[in-house]
This record gives sequence, C-alpha cells and structure tokens, in this order.
Amino acid sequence: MDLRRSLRRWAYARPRVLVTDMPGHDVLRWQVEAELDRRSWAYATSPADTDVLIVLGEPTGELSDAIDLLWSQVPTPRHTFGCSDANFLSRRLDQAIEALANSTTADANRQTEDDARARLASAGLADDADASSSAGQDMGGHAGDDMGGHAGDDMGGHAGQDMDEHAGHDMGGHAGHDMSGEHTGHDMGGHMGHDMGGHAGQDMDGHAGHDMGGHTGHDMDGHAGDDMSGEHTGHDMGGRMGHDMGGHTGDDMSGEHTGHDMGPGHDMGGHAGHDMSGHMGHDMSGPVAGLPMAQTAQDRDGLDLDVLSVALGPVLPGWPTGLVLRAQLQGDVIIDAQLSWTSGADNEAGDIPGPAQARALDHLARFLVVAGWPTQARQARQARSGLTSSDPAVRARAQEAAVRVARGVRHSRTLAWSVAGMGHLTDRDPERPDDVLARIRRWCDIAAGTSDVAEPGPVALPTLASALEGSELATARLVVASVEPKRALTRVEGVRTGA
Amino acid sequence: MLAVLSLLGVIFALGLSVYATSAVLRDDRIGAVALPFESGLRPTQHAVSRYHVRWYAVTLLFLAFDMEMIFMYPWAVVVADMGAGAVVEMFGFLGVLLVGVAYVWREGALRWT
Amino acid sequence: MPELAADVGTLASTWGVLPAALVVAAVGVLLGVLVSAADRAVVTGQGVRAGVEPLRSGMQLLLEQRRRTLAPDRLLWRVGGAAVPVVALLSMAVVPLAGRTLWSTSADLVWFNAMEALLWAAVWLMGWGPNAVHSLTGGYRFLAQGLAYELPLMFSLITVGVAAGSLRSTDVVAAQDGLWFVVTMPVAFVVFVGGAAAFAFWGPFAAPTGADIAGGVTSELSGLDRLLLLAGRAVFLGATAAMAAALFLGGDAGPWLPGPVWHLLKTVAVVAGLVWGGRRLPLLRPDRVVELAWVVLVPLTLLQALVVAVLAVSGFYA
Repeated sequence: MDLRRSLRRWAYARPRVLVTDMPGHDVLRWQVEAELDRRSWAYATSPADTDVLIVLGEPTGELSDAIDLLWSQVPTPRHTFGCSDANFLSRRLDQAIEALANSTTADANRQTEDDARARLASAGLADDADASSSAGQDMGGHAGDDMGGHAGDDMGGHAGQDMDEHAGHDMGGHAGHDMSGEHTGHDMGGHMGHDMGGHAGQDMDGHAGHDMGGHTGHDMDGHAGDDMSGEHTGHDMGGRMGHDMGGHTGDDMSGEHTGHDMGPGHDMGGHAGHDMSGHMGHDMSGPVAGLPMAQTAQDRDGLDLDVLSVALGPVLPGWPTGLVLRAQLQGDVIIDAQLSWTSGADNEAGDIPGPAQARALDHLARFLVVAGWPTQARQARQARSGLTSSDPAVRARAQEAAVRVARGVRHSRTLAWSVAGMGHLTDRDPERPDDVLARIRRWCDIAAGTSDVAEPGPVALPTLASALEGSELATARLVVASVEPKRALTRVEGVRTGA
Repeated sequence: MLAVLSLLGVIFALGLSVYATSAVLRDDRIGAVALPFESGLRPTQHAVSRYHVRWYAVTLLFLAFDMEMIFMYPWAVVVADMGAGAVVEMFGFLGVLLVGVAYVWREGALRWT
Repeated sequence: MPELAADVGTLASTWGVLPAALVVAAVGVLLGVLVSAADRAVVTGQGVRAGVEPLRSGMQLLLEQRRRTLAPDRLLWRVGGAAVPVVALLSMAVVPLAGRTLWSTSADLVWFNAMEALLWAAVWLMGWGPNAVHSLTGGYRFLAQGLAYELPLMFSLITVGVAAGSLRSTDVVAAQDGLWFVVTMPVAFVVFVGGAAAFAFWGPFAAPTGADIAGGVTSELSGLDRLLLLAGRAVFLGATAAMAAALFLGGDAGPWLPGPVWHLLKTVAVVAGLVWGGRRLPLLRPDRVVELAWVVLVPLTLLQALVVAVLAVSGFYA
C-alpha cells in the first residue's frame, strides 16, 4: 500500500487546476496563477479535466450554486479549497497534492444517474428566478392567470409575435385555442429564453415538442374541462418538471385530465390509470432523462432548423466569472443572445485594481487562452506577476517580457488573419476601437507600458449582446474576451436582443 | 495481412492491459454520472440535435475531389511509365475541377462566417 | 522508372510476426511520449524537465474516476474514443522502422491515409457521444477542419508516390537514394507535417478541443477515456513525424551512424520543428482555414504534384 501511495503522490504532483474568481479578487487570482505557473501546473478547461478546484473569495447566490454544480461534475480524486488571501498559498497547494494522493474509495464521486436527474429537476426554481429576472419579467405572474379569456381565441396570424408582448400570458391557456393557424415565428424567447419560433403553419398536431419546461408554478388544472381533443397534440410539458406530455394525439384530454394535479414537480408516473395508449410512442420518463430535445426555428433563409438553448458562464475558463450568456444556437451560430450578471457578480466591486499595465496583461492573458495561444498567455501572466514584484530587477525583466508579449501579439499576422473583422460593437465611434483586433492591439499598447493609451472603458451588456448575435460560438468567445463587460448595480441591466 | 492482424491483436492486448491497470489502481470502478458541463448551469435541453452546419456546400466540393483521389493513387504509380500524356490528362482533369473551386470561391461558399 | 521494389522484406518476415508487431506498437507508444514531452516542454516552458510529465499525466488519468454524462450515446462515445489510439497504432504498420515496415503492400501510403481518414468518424463520435454542447461543437469543428486539411494532405502523399513510382513505403525510402524528396517537394513536406497537426487536432489546429469550447471533444472526458484520446493523438503525431522522415528526409539514410539512429534523429527533428513552429501560432479557426486550404493549398499542392510529375516523366527520379 505504501508503494501505491507513493505512486499516487508522484502521479498527482502536477494536478490540473480550475481557478474560479469571485468579482474583486483579481489580484488574488494573479498571485494564485503566478504560483501555478511557477509549479508548471496545468489549467483545467472543464470540470472533467479538473483535479483541484480553487475558489477565490466567497461565492454567494447563484455563483455559489454554479460552483456546487461544477463540483458535482469533477471526477475523483479531487480537492477543493477556498481562498480569500494569498497567505499560505504554497502550503495549501502542497496540501492539495496530499489530499489527492490520500483520497480513498469513500471519497469517490458517487453521483449516479438518478442524482444527476434530481439535480436537473431541482434546477427549476433557481434557474427560473434567474431567467425571469434577466429578461426583466416576472414569471410568477403566469401562474393563476385566467385561462378562460383565451379559450377559443384564434391564435392564427400571430406571425412573428414576440412574447415580450405576451407578458403575463398563461401558456396553459393554449389549451383549447385554435392553434391551427399561422403560428409563424411565435417567439417565446422572453419567457425563459425558450424559442418557440418555427411552429410555422403547423396545426397543433405539429406542435410536438412544444416546450413549456421551466414554467414552474404553471397551473395545469385549468386544462380540466377544456376540450383538448386533437388539439393539444405533442404539447411537451417536460423541461425542468421532468414530465413529457408529448404525443397526446387524439386523446380526449378533458376526460383524462380532470382533477389531475399537474402542478410543479408532479411525477407523471403517478398517473395511475391514465390512458397512455395514445401517447404515440413517446416515453414519459426514459430516454429523455428529464430534458426536452432541441426546438426548431427558422434560420435566415426560412429553413426550419434545430435551435439549442445554451448558457455560457457564469463559471467558464477564460470567461468573466459571473457573466451569463444565454444563447440560442443553430449549429454553432448564436441567433439570439441575452447577457446578464448573476447575483453576486453584478456590482462595481468587480473592477480590477492594480496597475493599468498589469491589468492589460491580465486581459491579454485571458484573451490569449481563448484564442488558443497558450505559450503567449503564459508569458503574459508571467510578465504581469513580475510587474507587481518588489524586486526592481524582477520588475525590469518583467517589463521586457511585457514588451515582448505585446509586440508578439500585436504584430502576429496569423492572429490578425484569424480574428479580423469580427466583433464590431454597434456604436461605431471613431475614437474607440471597433473590432476585436483593434481592441486587442490597444490592450497590447497598454500592456507594453510604453505609450499612454487610455484604457478602453467597459462595454455595456446590451451593446455586447447585439455584437454577439449572428456570430458563432468561437467568435462570441473572442469578442467577450476582447472587452471588459460593464458591471451594473442591478441585474435589470441584463438585456435580450430579439431574433 | 497476418502482420496487420497481429498488430491489431497487440493493440487490443495493450488496450485491455491499460483498462485492467486502471481498474486495479483507481478507487472508483463504477464511475460518476454528471450533468454535461454548461458553465455551472443546468442544461435546459439535450445537446444532441440536428446541428446546422453552414459549410455543407464545401462538403460537396470535397466529395468531388475525394472521388478524384481514387483515380490519382493508381495514376501516381504508373505516370512515369505512361509519359507526358498521363500528366496532361490528369492535370487537365484537375484543371476542370479547379475551375469549380474558383466558381465556388467566387460564390463565397468557402466562407460561412 | 527502374524497378525499385527490391524486396527488402518486412519486419514480420525478419523478426517473426508477433515480436515485430510488439516492437511496432511499442515504438508507436514511445513516439507518442516523445511528442507529448516535447509539446509539454514548450507549452509550460519547463524545457527538458517536462520529459517525465506525459508519463505522470498518463498515470494520473489511469487513477482517475471515469465519468459519463446524463443520457449519453455511450456506445458511440466510447467507440470513438478507443478508435483514436487504435487507428494511430495501426498507421504504424506502414511506417518504416530499421528500413522495413511491419506490413508491406503496394498501397502503404493509401493505408496511412485511410487510418488518418478514420479519425473523421472517431472524433465526430467523440463529440456526439456525451450529449454536451461543447463536445458536439468540437466534433463538428473537426469535420469542418477535415474539409480543409484532407485534400492537401492526400495530394502531398500522391506527390511522393509519383516521384517514387510506388506507394510502398520502403520503395519511397529507396527512391531517395540520391536526393531526399524534401528538396524537390518542399511544399508537400510542409503540408504533410502541417496536415498531421490538423488531423491530430493539435496546436494551431486544436479547434476541436479548443479552450474556447471548454476542451471541445475532450470536455466531458476523464480518466482512462481521456487518456486514450490524448495518447492516440500523440501517437498519431509521432507516427506521422516518423513517416515524414521516411517519405521526405530519406528515412534511415545517413553516414556513419546506423540507419535506425538516423531515422530516429530525423523523426526527432520533425517533432521538434512541428512543436516549435506549431506553438508559435494561435489557434487557426477552421472557417478561415477552409478558405485558405481551397484557395491556396489545393492549387499549391497540385502545382507541386505537377512539377514532380514532369520531373518523374523526364526521368529525374530514375
């Protein structure tokens, strides 16, 4: 066993580290990264790649939830520690190796598929709260809406309507609507960011996959008594509640559903005696695992294509911690972007202190990670660390290194070719850098410390979000990495741009 | 053929021994189930979907050339013996294909972002 | 064209089938270690001390828990991951070691090409398998990248075949008796080595595993499964470096030292050049690379093939 332990200690002597920094802890992050670079430890790109999770500062609110979820995704052996100052940092990293080497069977990540599903289901409330506030809408108001008013409404001709106007509209009320008209491009984006576009010209039979997931608090009792026969086809109540009502073709739903409690968290498995024969082969629990499939929406050519709701952030390497991009993706193209700060990351305390040159180098380093240039990123980090040293000789060397990095990045024709022409911010001010390359070159000038270029100001989230729309995932990452997103005092700042 | 089959056998043996070593050494033999990584948030949909690839036009162009390669491998072996005629024929054919490339390029199909 | 197919025999016929296969697989693994050590040395700036790091990382991944995601396509995911090291080592069957290959056919170069082409399927399956968006994006990025690198790579292999008048690896080495092919086909050489980086999704061509998509196809992999993919990719890079040394740099030809030592030195030189050059560049986005490949590289490699074909017809390589 001793042999085994020394083998483990050797194997884990260079663990891969995921560093998450709470807002306002940038200088601490610099210190941690300097120590990690000194030890040649690798930076993890995802939880699966992680051995040690270091949390800088005290996570609160949604950031805390995000880190919990992240931790559940890390395979064992694993170790995590929080850090609010750089005292004993080296010793704590040594302890991390010890902990990894000494981990036992009992420490293994025991999360099973059921746990994962439970985690998914438990997301409902937290995520809803987040989405509704980021869209500036109160989703709670949906529950208990009068559905009678909608009954018999002709929904035909709601072409291209944005659900922002449907504030307070109860989706439950769609039961009994004549949905067989032109439901073209009906965009539910504002509601939870689900895009219901692409229901073009379909009658309700084609509404398979109609996703009402996440409408926690939705009252399905209202369906009782509605004549839903033949109209409620394929209405998917799945989503976070974990039940899929897809494929109720031809069922007389009114008879079946009367008195059924369809409230949040209700398990469809409990519908004993429910006639499932008409469910058209939809599995109520199995392969979908509590998650709906992608929706469809029209692309710019009017083709019906799958649209995937994806979140980037709040905790993603090379990404400003706490920033959340809720994107609708067709392939890797963002057709709709909402940006917001999660609670706990939204105040001005997130501004980075420290000398402007070091800040610029930090910015460059993060950009270079995203741009896939790890060697230059390391040199930028090392120059940044050296600049804050108390030893003048170290500072002088760091200054040389900073100039070298800045020159290397600024004059890289490959980088210029690779990122050219992307990320024009909408307010085209000639005074201000306009695209990714111009902004990065400006950061380079500041990083070199040889000119007195003013720091680019932070970019407001609405501006940034509209620059992301229509770009692909890789471009969006580069654009976000090239700016400093403006932190707002409240999350109402969060914006959505229409598709 | 026997050689390559035995190499395949050795590779499988190597693979099995890697699996076995790992199974013996690691603590956890069951494995964990995690939600797919979405930056600390729960996924809201299954990621597997009909992924829209905007470069599908390039795949067609690629197929045209890929078929052509099948002729080019045997051609490569005999071209020195066949003489200048074979060179003219093959590169004449490639020239026609390159006209296609030029057309596709002009149409902007090689750029989709 | 002279009869070059002087039957040098195969490794299998000299050493016996099983020992030869064992040696070839072992050399493949060692080449993989060499590549990852060189890569680690450059990326972390550790220099030669990084030599042991690939072994350490490998052991660490062996010790690590495996994981899967919610509702994955498990079969395809694992098949894709295991396929990468398998095809990488299978490609070693036609790489000359000590002047001979394990397996000698009239279409060795096609075999090498075919093994590399199987990565299209393997990497895409890796991306599809875990039902995760970053992974899926990575898988499709690889396909887009494939549209860029595949044809120039194939043209450079064909160029070699034209000059040698044979697709047999040992014939190609023998054909460079007087002059290394790199002299008359520098473009093909650079494209071949660059193509290796591209199909092994490494360095500037690492978009399928990019940091901007949380590691892409590797983003949901841990433990053994991650090891197999990373090792497979390193072995493939090593095998391609050895193949490049054989196809363009005269293989084991060289004065004073024994042949295998020369081949090893040339392979190390190719690896060093690849890592040094590759890590000087940022990630090349597949969407930009595709245009460059079709508009510049395809015509350029065809021009290279034309020049070599004319030389071959005029008896230059005879």
